[in-house]
Amino acid sequence: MAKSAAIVKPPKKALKKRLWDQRYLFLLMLPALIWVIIICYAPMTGLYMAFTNYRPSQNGYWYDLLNAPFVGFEWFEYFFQNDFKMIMRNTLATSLLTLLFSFPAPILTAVFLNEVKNMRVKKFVQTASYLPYFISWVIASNIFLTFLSGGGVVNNLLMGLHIIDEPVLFFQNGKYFWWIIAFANTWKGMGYNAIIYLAAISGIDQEQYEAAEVDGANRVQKIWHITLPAIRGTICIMLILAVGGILTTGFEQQLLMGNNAILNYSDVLDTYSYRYGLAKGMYSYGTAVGMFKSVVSFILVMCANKITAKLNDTALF
Amino acid sequence: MKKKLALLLTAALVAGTLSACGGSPAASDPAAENGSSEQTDGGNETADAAAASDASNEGEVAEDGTPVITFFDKNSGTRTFDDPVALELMKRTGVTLNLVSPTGNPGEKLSLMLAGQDYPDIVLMDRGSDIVNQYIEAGALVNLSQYMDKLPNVVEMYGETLNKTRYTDGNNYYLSNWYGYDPDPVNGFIMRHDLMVDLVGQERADSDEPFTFSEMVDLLKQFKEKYPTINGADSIATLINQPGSSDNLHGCFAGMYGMKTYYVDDNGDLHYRVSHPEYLDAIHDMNTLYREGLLDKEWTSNNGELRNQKLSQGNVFGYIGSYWDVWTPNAALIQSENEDAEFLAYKVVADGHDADATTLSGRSSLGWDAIAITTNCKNLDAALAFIDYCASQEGQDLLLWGLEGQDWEFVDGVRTPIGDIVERYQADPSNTVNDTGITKWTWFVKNDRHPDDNTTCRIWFNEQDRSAQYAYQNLTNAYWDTAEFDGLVPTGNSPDALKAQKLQDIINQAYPNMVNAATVEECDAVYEQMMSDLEAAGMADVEAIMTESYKARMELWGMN
Repeated sequence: MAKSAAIVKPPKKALKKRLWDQRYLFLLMLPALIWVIIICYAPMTGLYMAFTNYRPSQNGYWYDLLNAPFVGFEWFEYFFQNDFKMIMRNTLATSLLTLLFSFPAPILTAVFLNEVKNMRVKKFVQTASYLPYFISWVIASNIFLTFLSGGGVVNNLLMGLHIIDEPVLFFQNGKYFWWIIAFANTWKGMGYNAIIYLAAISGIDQEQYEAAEVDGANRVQKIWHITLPAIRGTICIMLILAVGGILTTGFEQQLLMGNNAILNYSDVLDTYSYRYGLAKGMYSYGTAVGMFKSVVSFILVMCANKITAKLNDTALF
Repeated sequence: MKKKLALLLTAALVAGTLSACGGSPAASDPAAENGSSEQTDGGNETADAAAASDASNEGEVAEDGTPVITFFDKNSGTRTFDDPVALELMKRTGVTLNLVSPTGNPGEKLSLMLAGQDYPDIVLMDRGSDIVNQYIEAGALVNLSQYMDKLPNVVEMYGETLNKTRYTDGNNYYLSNWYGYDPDPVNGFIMRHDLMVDLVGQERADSDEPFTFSEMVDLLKQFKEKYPTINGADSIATLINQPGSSDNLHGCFAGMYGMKTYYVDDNGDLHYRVSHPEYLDAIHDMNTLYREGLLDKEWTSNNGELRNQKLSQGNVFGYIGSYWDVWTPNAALIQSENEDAEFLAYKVVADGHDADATTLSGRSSLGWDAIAITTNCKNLDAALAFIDYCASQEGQDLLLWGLEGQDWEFVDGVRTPIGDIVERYQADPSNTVNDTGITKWTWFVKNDRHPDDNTTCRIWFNEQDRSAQYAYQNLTNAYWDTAEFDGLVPTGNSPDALKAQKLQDIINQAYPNMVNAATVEECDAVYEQMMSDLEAAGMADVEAIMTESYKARMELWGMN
């Protein structure tokens, strides 16, 4: 309370006046605003498709959309009654495993990289770790398919070390698939996400480290008491974003590495709505599944945001 | 002044973006574009007549004054339309053809184009897929029946096929590609000939006598015993492609038992192939190969490239599938192993079955693809003239034999390839096709020999190579016409279509698990589970719809 009382507020100008004063800033913002409206919000009108039986015709998109027979929650009901359990199990399992590895991995990478004093080594590790981010999933998937094949590096190594007698057929057992995707997601995004934490770490006042050194703190203590608390805000924001994207567990990787034998483990919300909505032309059903995902993601973001705000005084909005 | 300029630019940006994204309904309405106030709906005769009278070239024109036609060919991949045949085709038809690349999954692109109604002038789609009916139902395709007077070559070449490719309203909305009866063999056990000679002797290896499945299993076991490793790698007795989206048991295993696309019971009702009395026997055969270690353990990941790579390594005895799938590995093996190290086709029959009652070579007389003009086409006259020329014998000769005088010539009234063009093709098929343009664009193809000199429709196959010779010699009495069963699955945005897709998913998932089961009992358990899942997912409902469509089709074709 005392804190807020100490703040001296400038006299409030009339809204009109403030808007006019900042008119050039608003003008600069306008293209971005237009972009958001057209690219992000306008397509949302298509969500109405999920409640209709949309069939394209020659009358134009809007005519078809607005005149399509209204079916209420029929498509949602069909989804919940049929594939919902399996698809959600796969999505959540892949996602949570990914989160388990890919959330702490970039934090650890950034913290450790920060401790490396040799600049050459630091730069090399940094570049090598974020390079996978720029490799397309088509290539990355083929790397995994080759490495994990019956005669691939992994099986040869395991057999060479006499850990296994027969090659493990990684892509024929669905349960392996979740772990493979989690590992692949982590490998691909770890280095890139570490940059965000490195940027946060670089903003820490060096005097804090010097003071800690004077107090006799060792490296681990400096990490624990200075580095990690300093990037706590960033970690929270990244967690909120990660929780929001928990149902977005990947698309290309599942499509490229999966096969029919393990479809009941590899099919996630995105691949499912793609298979039905686009590949099969069932637009309304695909939209319904996609909309379900968006709504759940939105709720998750709001919850994560509320919780972190309560726990840490740090929130996205 | 600066402020005014900034405001003006911003306003222009807003207006430009909005107008580009919004579009006006009138502009996107082809009926309005054609100057007709009526909608060109599928079965609306008045609208059709109005559209027919409007057929003209009002669309985009190229720099040289020729009308521009945009063409989506699902098979074109990354090919470009700039080879000698392409240039000659544009010259002869007087159009500039802009090829729309399929980029990625062509089926997805066709769906997206339909949803956004931004399809090009001509589309080439998979005829067996439900996408054709979706386009027709959306009114996206021009009713060609009303323009038959402008398509004399089409009428002459297609003949009875036009009757069979009519939509339920009796009109033709597309033309088939690869139409006509085609007795070309398809599926078999494609075995390395040098190893066959080694294991069964020259005489048996060259004989056209089919093998029974048990004989083939014994042979594969012999191979594994004699050659546990080849070139330092574990030998592989047989290899198949990764499972596709169809339940055809890789063609070969359904064909061995004489199964067709659907199982038709005594009442004439259609059922999914899984209900065929011998479906489980065929699955057991596949499972036997897997359990005995005679099938590549990682077959479920074998895409086309991986398959070719494995077959080219020299440690695989046989491939089970289409005889043309092995052409690339054959070329590699002849170079790396020996001249006789070629995969050649053998017929394998299920134990106790008639060798002349197989269905190994299912082909649709109505073709693989459907080619249609869309209602977005503004240069309709040019498009009609273009397809009529392509479908004509002269057009077909240009597309499939190349330039007369350069690639082929008439010798004593018989079409004869010039120089070593066929040898070049046999040594390097893909580059020869790309360089010459011959068979690079396979459109409106008729599966028939030339009526005047009895030569084949494609220059490359006028003289059969060894793999074709063996296929024709060994895979006999295996042809059947799949046309009557094509495209019966419910389509589009309907609960029935959803059910049908769900059924296909259940079969697709169970299939590899049945094949890869550790025991026969496990295989049967997966089958039982699949059947109960299918029943729960509404198999009977979908089968009833397909039966109804099938009977309606038979009536339309006058085959009842």
